[in-house]
Amino acid sequence: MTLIQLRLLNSTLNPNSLAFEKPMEELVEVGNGVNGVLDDEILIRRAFEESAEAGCEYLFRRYHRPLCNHALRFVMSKEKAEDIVSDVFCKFWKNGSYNSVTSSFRYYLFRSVRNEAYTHLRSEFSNLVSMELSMAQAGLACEQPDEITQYEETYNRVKQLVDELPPQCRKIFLLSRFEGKRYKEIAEELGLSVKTVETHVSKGLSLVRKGLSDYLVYFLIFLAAGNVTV
Amino acid sequence: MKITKELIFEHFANKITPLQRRHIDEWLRLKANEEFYYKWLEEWERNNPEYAPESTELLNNYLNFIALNTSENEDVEETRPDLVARKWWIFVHKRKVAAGFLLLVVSAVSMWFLRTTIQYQNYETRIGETRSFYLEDGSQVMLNPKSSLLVPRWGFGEKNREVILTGEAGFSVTHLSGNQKFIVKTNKDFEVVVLGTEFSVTANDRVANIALKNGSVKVNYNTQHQVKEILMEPGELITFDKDLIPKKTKLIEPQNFSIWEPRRFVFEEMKLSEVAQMLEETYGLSIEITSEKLADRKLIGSFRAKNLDELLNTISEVMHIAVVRKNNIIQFKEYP
Repeated sequence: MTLIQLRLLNSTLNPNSLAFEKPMEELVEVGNGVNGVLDDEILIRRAFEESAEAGCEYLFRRYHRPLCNHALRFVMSKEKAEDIVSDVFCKFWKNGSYNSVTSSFRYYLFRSVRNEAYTHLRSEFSNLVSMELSMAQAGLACEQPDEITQYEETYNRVKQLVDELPPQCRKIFLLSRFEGKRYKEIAEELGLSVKTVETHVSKGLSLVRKGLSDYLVYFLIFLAAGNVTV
Repeated sequence: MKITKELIFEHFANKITPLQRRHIDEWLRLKANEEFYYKWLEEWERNNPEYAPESTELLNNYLNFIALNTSENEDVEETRPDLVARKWWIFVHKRKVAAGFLLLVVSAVSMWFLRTTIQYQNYETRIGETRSFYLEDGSQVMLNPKSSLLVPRWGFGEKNREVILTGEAGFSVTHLSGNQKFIVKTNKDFEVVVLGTEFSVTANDRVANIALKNGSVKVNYNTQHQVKEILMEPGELITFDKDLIPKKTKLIEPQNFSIWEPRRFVFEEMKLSEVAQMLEETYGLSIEITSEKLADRKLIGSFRAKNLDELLNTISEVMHIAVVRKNNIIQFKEYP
């Protein structure tokens, strides 16, 4: 069934504001409001009081965009980032996690997305190394960084590795991975052969993978050492 | 060392020293600080976006997922036609045949006089009320306050699907295999013909706007006893002025149409006085703001409300002010 939408909208608002709606889903006072510290999840909780569906929808509207942008820094692919965020939201609904959240929803969602993105990164980029490592990995499969700031370190490392690629290779790598374009599209866009595009992408991928797996190996050993001493 | 938002932002952008980072790690041992950390992370991500995801489309997928993973569906009962039919049957049965016959005669007479009432089912909303229901073809209607929609009582038949609207409504139109058009007639000498598309319409006493997202839409309108039509292309906005003269403009971000929802209020740095004016126009209220200082305070953001009270409560809570309502007179004032 195809859904077609036709809306006769709220008449008295500025018609432009309808077309330029911001993704922001919370009403806040700007400037010198009376209450300095604002609990900015009031409306989300109110939506949850109404129904879990309404609450989840509200959460999605409010946090989807920054969460996708955040996941993107780790995985360097829009599509993958969106998958990760959608997964987190689906689990959130399916497991009824909204009943057990003791922190802010923001805290919960950002943490979950960071964990997922990190786990994905590790499984994608450190799976080419030796047996030895894979054993170490198995033991530490559910291991996440101890320090919250290590997540930033990780995505900055990714960024650095991509930035260090040779210019042409970097450009093609980003078009392919970040934008999710097909080799053929990139080849047409840049006037190159598909073969050349392929070579650049796999070169970029292997360089990033190598840099990252070195980093992650170091990281795992560091973690393992940490666990032994504690 | 004091941990500030600026420092955390620099950390996100990878511009701090290892020593600073150790301080941040230390600071983060407290869960309350961690909350600040994520609050700032959200802010930072909003300020430094890499791209704009197709959130609306993905939200639709998410809502489908939720619907599929929910066991019960609550509000199906309300308008089930077979229940209505059963009541009717019992009524005739009790009063026996004579009553039934009288009823037939009365119906026949009133049918002649009340053709519209009988041909059409009238859905109506009062001030401050919104209502959502499904039509027999599966299309969903969301009726905004002070509006009415006439829908053919005996179904749309084989031809076009026509409804008559006074006021404002939203439609989520189901596409039919026979490609029957969906036509919204208005009392303002123009009608909107859905040819398979997504678009939004704004209509009130002064202006009427139609914005098209994708697909195509035909707008028929009357000028000086002449029927004219305009075909719209995606991304276009048509504005009718008082004399029903259309003007076409291009929308900058047509993809930002929000999906179906109750009623959304958008405040783009709107002064409370402007909010009040909007409420006066939308709900026919009279609003009084006790001080000028209060009238100048601004709201930003967007908010969906099911009814007026919900919106007023939210404004009261967000701005920390008292909202006193007496029928149609509302007072915004600061707490003493």
